[in-house]
Amino acid sequence: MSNYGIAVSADGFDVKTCDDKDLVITSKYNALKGSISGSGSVSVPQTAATQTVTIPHGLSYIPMVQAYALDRNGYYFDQKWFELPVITFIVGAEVFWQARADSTNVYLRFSYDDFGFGGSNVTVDYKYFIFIDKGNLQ
Amino acid sequence: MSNIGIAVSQPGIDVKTAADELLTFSSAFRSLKIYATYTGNTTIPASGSNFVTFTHNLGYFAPFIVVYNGSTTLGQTYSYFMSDSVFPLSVQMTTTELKIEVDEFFDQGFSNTGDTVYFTAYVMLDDFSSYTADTILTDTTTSTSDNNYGFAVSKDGLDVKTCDEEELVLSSGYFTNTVHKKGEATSTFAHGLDYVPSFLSYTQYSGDSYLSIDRFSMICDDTNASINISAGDTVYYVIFKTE
Repeated sequence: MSNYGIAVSADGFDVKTCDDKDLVITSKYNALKGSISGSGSVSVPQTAATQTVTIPHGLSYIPMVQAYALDRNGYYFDQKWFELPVITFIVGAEVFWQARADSTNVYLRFSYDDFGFGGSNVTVDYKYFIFIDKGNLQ
Repeated sequence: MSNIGIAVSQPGIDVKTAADELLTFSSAFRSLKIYATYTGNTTIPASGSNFVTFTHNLGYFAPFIVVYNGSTTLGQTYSYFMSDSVFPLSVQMTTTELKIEVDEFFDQGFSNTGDTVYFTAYVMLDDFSSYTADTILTDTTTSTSDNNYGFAVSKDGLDVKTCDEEELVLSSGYFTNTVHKKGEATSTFAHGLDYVPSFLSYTQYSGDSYLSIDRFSMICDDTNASINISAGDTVYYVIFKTE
């Protein structure tokens, strides 16, 4: 492959002689490109009923999507951001967090099941990042 | 470090005052570069494991992304980032290959023995040599402008004016996932951003010659990257400036 186009090296590296991996950007390789990001909160009952957050992405193909969530009530998790998916079986509860995408939307799905204990709703904060790069190249 | 070089902001955002994470591109910061993309499939065995193997031959560990594109039973309407319908994928990144393991329990409850399962994978050119970007600006201005002006760079053989957006090397219309910090960690560390960042993380368990996916090995809050591993394990990570 001929080596023409644009290349920018990091500070301290000679753009003509450094390894490609030490370039900030080069037209030889696509950069991982972000498109849409956002955040929100959802109230999830502890009845195993799945709460779905639907996010239109407007891309007409399946993108890659990365998502994180935080259990704001702290019932079952430390109050830190966990990358989806999360499925865990804790004494007294089953927790399921999932992120998936189709050619129209991104879906963040949350469910808690306290097996009839009757606990109050859990507030889950979420953040998502949708990439321009395709999630399905089949 | 003096802020010289090239910087591009998104439409509607002042390039001189934009927060670091709102720049489309800056020569002050690195971005992940896609070395190769792969597609593959295998079947769910009745016992044992089948593997989908992609050979990259980079000679070092590289960040990667694997997307599960569905199965015969599940269909291919949805895709899942680094997981099957329920659990994180079992993946091995060596210095030459990326291997996806499909055992008899793969996608349990949603797919069946004998199903064909499909994957898309991205392997990055970047390695995990230690790097921390400077913080230059921290303004909080955001924009969602749809105006398509600025600059774009296409790859060799593609017309920059007519190719699809996802085929561009770079475009001022979209964020580039700017790298804030990357490297290896065995204990919790301060990431230096005052917000919760996005990140990629992988775990090399003690005795393994490859990286695996483990959702709980690294989690972030607005100050620290918490490392939750056993003695002898190592986390390889890339933290982005993206908030």
